[in-house]
Amino acid sequence: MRQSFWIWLFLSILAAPIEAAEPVSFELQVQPILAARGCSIGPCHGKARGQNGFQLSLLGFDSDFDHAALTKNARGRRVSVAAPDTSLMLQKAVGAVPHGGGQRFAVDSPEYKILRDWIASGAPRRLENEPRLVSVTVSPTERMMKPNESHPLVVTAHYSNNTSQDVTGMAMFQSNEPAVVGVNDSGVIQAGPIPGEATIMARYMNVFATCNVVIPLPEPVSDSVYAALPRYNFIDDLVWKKLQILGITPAEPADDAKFLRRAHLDVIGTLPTPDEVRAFLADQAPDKRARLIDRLLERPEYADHWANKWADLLRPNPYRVGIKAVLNYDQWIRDSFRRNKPYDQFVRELLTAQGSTWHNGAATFFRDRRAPDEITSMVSQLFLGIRLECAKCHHHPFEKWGQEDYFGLAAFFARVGHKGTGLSPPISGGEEMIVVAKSGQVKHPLTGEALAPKTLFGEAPAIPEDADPRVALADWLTAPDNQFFAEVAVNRVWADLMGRGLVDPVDDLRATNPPTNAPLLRALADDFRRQKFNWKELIRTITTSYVYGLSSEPNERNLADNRNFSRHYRTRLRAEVLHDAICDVTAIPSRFDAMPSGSRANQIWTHRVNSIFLDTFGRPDRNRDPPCERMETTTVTQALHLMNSTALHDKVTSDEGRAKKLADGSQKPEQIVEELYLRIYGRWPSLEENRVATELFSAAGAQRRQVVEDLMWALINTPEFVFKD
Amino acid sequence: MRYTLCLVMIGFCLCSVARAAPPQLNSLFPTGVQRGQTVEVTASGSWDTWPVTAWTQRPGLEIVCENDKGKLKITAAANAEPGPVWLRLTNRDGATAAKPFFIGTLPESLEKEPNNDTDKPQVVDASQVINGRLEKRGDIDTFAFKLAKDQMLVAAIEANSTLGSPFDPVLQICSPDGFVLEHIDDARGMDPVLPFAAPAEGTYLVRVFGFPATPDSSIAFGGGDSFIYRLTLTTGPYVDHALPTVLSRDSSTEVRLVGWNLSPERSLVTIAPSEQERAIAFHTEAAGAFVLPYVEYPSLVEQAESAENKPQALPVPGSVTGVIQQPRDEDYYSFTAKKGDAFRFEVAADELGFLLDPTIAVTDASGKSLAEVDDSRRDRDPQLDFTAPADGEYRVGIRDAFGHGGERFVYQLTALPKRPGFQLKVTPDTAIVKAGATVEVTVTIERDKGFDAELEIIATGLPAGVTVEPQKSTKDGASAKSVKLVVKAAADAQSGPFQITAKGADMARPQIARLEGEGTTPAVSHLWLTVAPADAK
Repeated sequence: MRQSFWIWLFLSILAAPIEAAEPVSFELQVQPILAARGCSIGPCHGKARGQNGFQLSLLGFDSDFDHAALTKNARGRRVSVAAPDTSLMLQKAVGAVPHGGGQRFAVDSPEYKILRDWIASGAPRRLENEPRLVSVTVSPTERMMKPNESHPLVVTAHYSNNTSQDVTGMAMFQSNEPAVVGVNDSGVIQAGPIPGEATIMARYMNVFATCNVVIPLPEPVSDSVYAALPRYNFIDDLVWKKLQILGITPAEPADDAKFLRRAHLDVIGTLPTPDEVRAFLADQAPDKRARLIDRLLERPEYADHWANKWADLLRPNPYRVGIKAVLNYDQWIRDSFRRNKPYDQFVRELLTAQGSTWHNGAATFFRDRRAPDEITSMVSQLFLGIRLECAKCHHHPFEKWGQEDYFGLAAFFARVGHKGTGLSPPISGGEEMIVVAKSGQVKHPLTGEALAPKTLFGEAPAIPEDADPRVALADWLTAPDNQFFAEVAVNRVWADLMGRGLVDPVDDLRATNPPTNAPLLRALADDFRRQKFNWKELIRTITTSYVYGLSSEPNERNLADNRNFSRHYRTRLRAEVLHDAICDVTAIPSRFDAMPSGSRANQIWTHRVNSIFLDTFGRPDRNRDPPCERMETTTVTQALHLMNSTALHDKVTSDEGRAKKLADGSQKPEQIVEELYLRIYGRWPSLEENRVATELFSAAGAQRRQVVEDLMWALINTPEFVFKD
Repeated sequence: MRYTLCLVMIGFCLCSVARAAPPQLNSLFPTGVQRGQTVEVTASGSWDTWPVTAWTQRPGLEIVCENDKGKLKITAAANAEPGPVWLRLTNRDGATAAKPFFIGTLPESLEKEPNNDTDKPQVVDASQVINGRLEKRGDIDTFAFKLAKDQMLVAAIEANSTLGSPFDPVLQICSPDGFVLEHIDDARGMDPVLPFAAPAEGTYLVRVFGFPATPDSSIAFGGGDSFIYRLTLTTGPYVDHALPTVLSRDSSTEVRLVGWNLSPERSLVTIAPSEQERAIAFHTEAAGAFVLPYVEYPSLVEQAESAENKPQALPVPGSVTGVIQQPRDEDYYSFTAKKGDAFRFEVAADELGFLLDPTIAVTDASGKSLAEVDDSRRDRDPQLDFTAPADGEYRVGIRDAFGHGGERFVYQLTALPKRPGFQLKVTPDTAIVKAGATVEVTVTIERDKGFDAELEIIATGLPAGVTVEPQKSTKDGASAKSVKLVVKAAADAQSGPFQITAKGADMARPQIARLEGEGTTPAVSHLWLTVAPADAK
């Protein structure tokens, strides 16, 4: 009897207006309308301070709060039980009184009737024996589509009494690639004209589900094509499997010169020298690419190149924490890469750091991030790829995380204590020690309840009395069953080497932003763990795959692919790498403040060291807090800088530089041209290139030194130099 | 208050004998000399009157004043004990503050610019002490040292802690191609010490740079005339410290030298009891030395089993020197007490230049914590006062506040019966008197609550022709807190050092006054009295 009442109630949600006022559920009927009609979304009343004095919890995650906001606040004007139609919430929603959000529905709409009936029945918070919303599913969850095809999605809400109902009409939809697959307000997905993939998110209230859509290329490719592709390691097989689903075929392998330059820039951040190019091109051994990777991983440049990337993520501003703390933190990061410290140990040492920031650089992390909640969002983003920041203030709109999750995780840092001298910007020169305090707690910001340390998922090891709770957190983070820990790490390295993450952005792992190749991400993570979190082995695994060595040259079946690694994706050289390459090409190093002479840009220990070049090419601003993810975008300023920078001009034309030395030497013009091409592009010039360049030397009025300088300058100003291909 | 007193004293000196300014010594460079060798030293400072004569706090140096202002010739005796010697330069106008000058076992050399560049280092071909200076802002000093595979190089800087140089030095070891292999900022206070085992044969680079000890708003490396340092580079034996860290005055102490490249036969020395204030632990074939003060109670070394279940007995009064060798180690000592017995426990580690940040706890025999102290005020080295609540056995536990550990995590734990005492202090540490006249020296007595004894304040070791009447300090009245000693110089009185001591009825030996003021060091307890000519203006 009761069950049939609820079924009836659910059916009534979308049914035509019914005359008599029936019991209406606040959570299951009223709040969904407020979410679906945009009242409780972020730009309107769902934002942190509400809108025009009226605040709702974001997408209705806090029913008690919303009920109070409607029935108690604003002196109860928002609902009038005695005269429901005069309730401010209805008057505003239908536009009868001025409303910044305009009309949300009409007086004769089902929404109006439900809200009115709820008010008329006394605006109850809960009905007797009311079930709860447990989950939402979308159907289908996977769909192969043809270009321009469309298909309706069905969204179903599931309740605690084992009932469910179709809530498609009350759901919101969003595509992560609207140009590939769009979706309308009714949940109909529409394939675009080009092949590709997209994930459609359907959200009902604050619960969501996703549907992955693939539009393969029209004409099928024979299975034998994929079967015949080389498989150097597991990466290749998993990439081919994905390409096969999409009907994409991979590019040809890159030539040896390209591979050499790519591997040098990727693994150690430097260009190969002409001698290295000549030797590699002359080497006939079939395993020369793998042996090259082995050699590069042993080079001393390796540590600075990779530490420089991690410094962006960790190193704070010296104006804030003091230069000594920053220098020692930087050296701790560099030392970790010098010793190829396993990644789990690196994270453990960082997150459980104690002592003076002058002795233990890692402790600077806690000098910079002082409160548990400040530490939490950085830790979850860096080491889990989970962006929890939203959940600090409200339920995460695209995820399952709430404030109890955020502050439960923060509670692991409740006992991080400080002694010594704290921050005193802009010098902050005192010595501070990080210590495990005897007590300390983190409270839920709404309930004020002291929260016990709680991991986001799974079980954290028990915390013995008097033990540092951070040790338990590190145990949980680095445990073999924590897939997020390894996945976000391998995703970063993959993105560095392959030009794009399997998940993009690299630190945003969530169901609504799925990896382009989930089995590959999982396999890389599993392998990383098997290799005991060894960075060099991870880099070796990726760079010795066949896929890593593909050419960036597209074919007709992978032209549109920009996420499935059917070809290499070119990226602009990182600021420091490009800078150091120019120094190597010109043989004129830069002088930096607070650095020994001859230092390379990727050895700089703080972004406070001035360099217009590095700033132009995307070095994070010195005043920005870590973690700083870089976008290797290209800008007009960069092109102008390469063309007009006096510093660069001075390097090219220096009396101490390579151009002068080449000009003064006895080499013939074609040998000089070869030398420049080997040095700058890492390849031999073509016959035509050599002919054109050599002619410059014999042109009327040509001066040998100036020709060499002009050639050098011109090659530096080409994409072939500025990009890693 | 102390500052005012200081000003009053200076004012007093200036008024009584108006004259040329007293000499001022900013630094000595080079900063040391090898045993049996002679070195030309520049004394930077201001000298209205030259020549000067030198006073040293211990024997071993012969100091000759050259004709040129600021130039000294310093010779170390062949059998001189290594380590710092504190010296003052004096003339008829007064005396300088005491500055350290080192006697070493290794040859000494001078840093030579230019050596800033990684590819143009100063070549160092044998173990030695380099006397260096970061001469200007941005200066980096680079040295090249050839090592065989697995050979151990010890690189140690003395700059801020002992020499008082106003900078915070950083030491790096780079591979032959210029890549940083090791980086160390602080070890002994701000001064770095680094043992480095060469991973392969080659010429390695040792790089020195620094920041102003009081940081400024720039990120630049600091430099200046006063940025002087001693850099020991040796592949031979090197003494970093000694165990124990104090010597009992009652008996010979077997002292273990701890450092690097020290063979077992070079690491044990026996130091005899002495009436001196301190002794030096060293080995004639090793670089480095460690200064140990004498104390009036037993001095022990931690035994291997001083763990929680087997605490080592701690005599009271007594001292024990231990090491937190492993991370998260805790050392335990036991003592017995009767109800109401009061104790004072003091731990020294940071003060001695060790890395430990000690935490001290007292527990009962069952391990129940009764008291715990990490820091005392802003001092990292704690002291803990404890009164036994009942008859029985108690334990003292020492650990690192951060759970770190290692060879240089040394502590010196001293257990004393807690009874009220006093501190005797004199400011400033020099005085001037005209021949045939008198000058007053104010002595401060800081009495603990409950210390009621009468003290006799005496000047000892006075130079010829100088007399001082002893004064009494009683528990009540003005003399409880300070007394004025009247220093009387005869017409033919000589300048010279002297000490001020206090003696009470039940004291085994007198307490020597501590000198307080800018540039003073616990190593020096002799004031300097300058006797100016009677006709001085």
